[in-house]
Amino acid sequence: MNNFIGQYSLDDVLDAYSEASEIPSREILAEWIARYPQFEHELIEFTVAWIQSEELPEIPGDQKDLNARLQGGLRIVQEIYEKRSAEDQTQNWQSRAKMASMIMEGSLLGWSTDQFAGRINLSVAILRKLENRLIDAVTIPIDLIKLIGVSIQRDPSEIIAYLGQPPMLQSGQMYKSKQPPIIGKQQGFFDAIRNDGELTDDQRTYWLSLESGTE
Amino acid sequence: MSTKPPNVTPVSVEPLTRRNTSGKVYKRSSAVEVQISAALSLSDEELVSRASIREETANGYLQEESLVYLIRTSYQRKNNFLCNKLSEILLTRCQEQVAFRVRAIEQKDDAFNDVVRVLFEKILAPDNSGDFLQVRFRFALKRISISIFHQYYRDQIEERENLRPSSFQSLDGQENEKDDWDQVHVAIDSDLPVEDSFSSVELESLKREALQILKEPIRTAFILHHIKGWQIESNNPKEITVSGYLETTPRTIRNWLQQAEKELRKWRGDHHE
Repeated sequence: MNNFIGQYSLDDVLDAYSEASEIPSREILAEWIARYPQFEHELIEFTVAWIQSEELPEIPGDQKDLNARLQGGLRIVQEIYEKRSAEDQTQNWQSRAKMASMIMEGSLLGWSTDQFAGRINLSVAILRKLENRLIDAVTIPIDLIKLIGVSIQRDPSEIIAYLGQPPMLQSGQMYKSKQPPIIGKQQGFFDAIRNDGELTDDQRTYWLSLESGTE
Repeated sequence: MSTKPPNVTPVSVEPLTRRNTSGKVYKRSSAVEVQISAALSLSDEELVSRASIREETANGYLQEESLVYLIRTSYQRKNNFLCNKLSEILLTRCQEQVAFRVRAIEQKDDAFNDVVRVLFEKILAPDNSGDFLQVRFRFALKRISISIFHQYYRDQIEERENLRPSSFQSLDGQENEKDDWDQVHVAIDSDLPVEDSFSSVELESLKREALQILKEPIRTAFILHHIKGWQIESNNPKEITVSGYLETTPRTIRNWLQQAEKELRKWRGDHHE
C-alpha cells in the first residue's frame, strides 16, 4: 500500500529513515517515531538491527570465496528472472482472456466512445458495429485491426480473435419481449463505410481506398 | 546476443511514479537521467563495457541507480545477454556492502542470497515498489540488508537459546528473581552507576572483546548502553531506553551489565595471565 495522502507503507518509511542518517541515531529515531507513531515498534527494531549490524564482530561461518558467493547470487537472480517471466506470461494470458469489450478497453485508457472512434478514424456508429461484431471480420482491413491494437495496447491477434466471435446484442439495451431478440445480420466493412451517415468524406475516401487490398 | 539495439530512435527515460513520505514523486538525479539516456543508445557490448567502469569519477561511469533502470529495461526487452551481464556487474558492486552487513550471521551465504533475492525482486517488480532503488540505491540496499540481517540474527539467537542446556536457561529466571534483591540494594547501585565503571579508553579497547564473549540479550544491552549511549531507564515515557526496548526492568538491565563487566574482567584476567 502506498501513496494515500498522509499514509505510507512501512517500506516507504524505512527507506526514508535509512536515508535520514548515515549512522543510527537515537535522536533521529525519536524524531521519526514522533512523525510515524504507527511504526514505532518497527522503527526501534530496525534501528537496533542497524546498530547490531555495525557493531557486532564478524563470526566465522560458512563463508565462501567471493567468486563462489557471486555465482550463488547470480543463480538467485536467474531464478527470479524465470519466475518473473512465468508470472508475466500468466498475466498476459489472463489479460487476453479478460478482453470483453473494445470500447471498455478504450475507456480504461480514458477515452470516451467518440474519442476512441476519432482515434481509429471511424464514426461512433461503425465502432459500435465493430464492438458488437456486426461487421464480417474477414472484410475488415488489417490496417484497421493494427490501428485498434495500437490504440488499446493489444496485440492484433487479440483484436482478430475478438472481431471473429459471433455477433452480440448492443450492450445496455433492454428488450421487453419474451422472445429472444433477433441479432442483426453481419455486413461487410466497406458496405458499412458506404452507408454510414456520420463519416466525413475524407474518412470514407480513405477507407474505401483500402477496399481493393482486401479482395 | 544483439550488437545494436533494433530501435535506434531516442528512447525517453520512463518516469518514476512512487511517492516518497513527503508526498512527492521520487525523482532520479539529473546525472542518473543523463547516464540512462546516453546508455540507451549504446550497443550491448558498449553498454557492458561502460557499466564495468569502477572509477566513479571516470568518464562514462554508470551509477547503480542507472544500472537498476537498465536491468529493468533489458529484462522487459527480453535481452538476456544484457540483463545477465548488468546484473552481474551490479551484484559485484553490492557484494562488499552486503557482506559487511551480514558478517555477524552464521549462515552468511544464505543471508547474502536473501538480500540478492529481495533486491532483484524489487528491481524487476512490475509495480513501482522498486523506484527508490533508482533514486538512492546505496540507502535502499542498506535498508534491505539490515532487514535481512535482523531476520537471521533473531533466528540465530533463538536457535542458540534452544541449544542451551536447561541449567543455563534457568539463569535468566534467576536474573529476574534478583530484581527483588536489587530493589533492596538500589542505593548501592545508584552510588556506582554502570556507565561510570569503565573509562572511555578502556571501554573502546574492550568493546570488541566484550562483544565476542557476551551472550544475548546482555550483548545488545551492552551495545545500546555503553556504545550507543541509550539510557537504561527514563522518567520521560517517550524516551527510548534499553529497558524499554528489551522489555525488562531497569534492575534486570543493570544486572546484565554488571554480569557483562564481570565476564569481561574475568576474560581479561584469563588472557593477561
